[in-house]
Amino acid sequence: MKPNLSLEIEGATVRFGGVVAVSEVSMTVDVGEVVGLIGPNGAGKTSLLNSISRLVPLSAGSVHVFGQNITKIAPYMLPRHGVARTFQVVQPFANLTLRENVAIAAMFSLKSLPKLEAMDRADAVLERTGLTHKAKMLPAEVTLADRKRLEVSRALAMTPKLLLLDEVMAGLNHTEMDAMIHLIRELQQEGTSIVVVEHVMKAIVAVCNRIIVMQNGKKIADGNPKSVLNDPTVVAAYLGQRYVDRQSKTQSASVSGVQK
Amino acid sequence: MTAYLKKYGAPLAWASAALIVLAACFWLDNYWLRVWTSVLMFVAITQGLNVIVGFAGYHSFGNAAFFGTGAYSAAMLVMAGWPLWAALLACSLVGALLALILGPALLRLKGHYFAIATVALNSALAELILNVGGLTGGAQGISMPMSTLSPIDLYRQVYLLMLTGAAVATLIVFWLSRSKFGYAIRASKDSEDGARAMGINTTAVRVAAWGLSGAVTAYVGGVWAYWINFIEVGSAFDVSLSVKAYIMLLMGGMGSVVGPIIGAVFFEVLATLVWSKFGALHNLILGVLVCAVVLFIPSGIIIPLRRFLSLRKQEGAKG
Repeated sequence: MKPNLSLEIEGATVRFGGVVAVSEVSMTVDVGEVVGLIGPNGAGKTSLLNSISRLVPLSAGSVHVFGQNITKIAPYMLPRHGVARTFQVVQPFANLTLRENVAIAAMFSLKSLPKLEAMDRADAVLERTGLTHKAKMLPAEVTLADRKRLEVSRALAMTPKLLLLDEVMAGLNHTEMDAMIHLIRELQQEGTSIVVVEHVMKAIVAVCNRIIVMQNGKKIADGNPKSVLNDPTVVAAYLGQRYVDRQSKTQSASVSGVQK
Repeated sequence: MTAYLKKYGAPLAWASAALIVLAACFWLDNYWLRVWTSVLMFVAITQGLNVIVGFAGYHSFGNAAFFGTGAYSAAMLVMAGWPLWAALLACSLVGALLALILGPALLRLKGHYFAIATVALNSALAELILNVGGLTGGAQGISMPMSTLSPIDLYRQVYLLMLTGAAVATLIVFWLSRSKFGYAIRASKDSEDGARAMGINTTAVRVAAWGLSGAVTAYVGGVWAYWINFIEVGSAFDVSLSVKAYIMLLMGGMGSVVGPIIGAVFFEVLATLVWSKFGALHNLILGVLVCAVVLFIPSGIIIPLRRFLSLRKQEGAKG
């Protein structure tokens, strides 16, 4: 494994009985890089993320994080390697307040803070994600957008070096999405490597250095956003011709605007 | 004065309650001393159940397995010449060990599968004790050596031993409600995947929680064996003991420190009063009462009580 890689996956295969959810996918993420993982529903993006975070075992292949082979470790050991993740279907601790939810992440992850320090860390993270005024509420008492922010807050409280974000933009309005994009950019500037699974192309284009496209469990494209989004295979498999037409209209409108 | 009360009010209230309960054994008559000993026994058992059910979310209907194991361990050790205090400590360890050995396998089961497995464990242990014979006395049971204390002193000793069990169990639950370990258990209950992603070894914390539950329940079983002097499998591994503790937990409120105390005191004292007034109908009356509580306050008495107390506090602040 190259020294500047935060994540290296080789030939990852995930099977659920006879169904192959992920088929021999290899990918890398450089330190400080933001990589987008896109594809149609059922492409295997979340299964790949679940296999990286060890919630689903790999049928074949290997995963290295910062040079350490984590293919066979227990899922609870992953935060100690500096990896944090969010869930597509939010997984809050329903009977604990938002503050306690975030503090737990700080208590048992990389730095394993004592309770009081973890609470302080939770306060700092909640302020950053704009949830301070709801810190004493239960997850069921806040909106879906807030629960998504809670997922991100918990991941941040773990002071990750590699962050796996699974559809954190889904259900957010434009303002909330802009705030999330701003937060991801900040994290990247701080040197955090990030893998973003997302359907919202605006967000993918705004934050990613590189995009990987999956279809039917296989990787079909990997490259910089411009080349990938214009790749005919990707257009046919995921984006559709309407997306390309809309993008060219937007671009020509902005060019004519500049000329005028 | 108000600030002082706010800071020290709760500890003072707890200390006063503890002193009253401690002193009670010197002014209660024999009958009520036995009733309150039984109440304290159920406070400890219910708190033990609270650890695995209320905090860890695993519904155990077979905690009588620990009770019976504790009773038989204490009886056999006392018969072997161990002093009572050492036998009681050892039977707590046996209860904890049983949970720690079987936990990794049984706690893989979820929901009603785990509940059924605990009942099966209780039956299996009862059969084992019956068939081992010799050491355990088999179907004939075991008689412990008669105490040399006068009856009232013996009742007081048992009361204080049960009080110790109830106090330790409550302190364990209090610690769980505030400690890092307690947060790990509660997180594992709410979302296993979420907890594992946060770095919590969910299997280990559940096994440890069941170990605590087992230790407390086995200790109480040991004291009970000393109290009634003669034990046999039917009464030591009685599933209805687990069910009764479960009802107390439901009535009081799961996952809280005070709920199991309220549930045990309310149910046991009420059962005694109903039994003394309506001997033939007491099971029917208790059954109706349990149904009413479960239907109208499914989260337990603690919830409306908390609401009432917080309303009183708000009114006090306004006034």
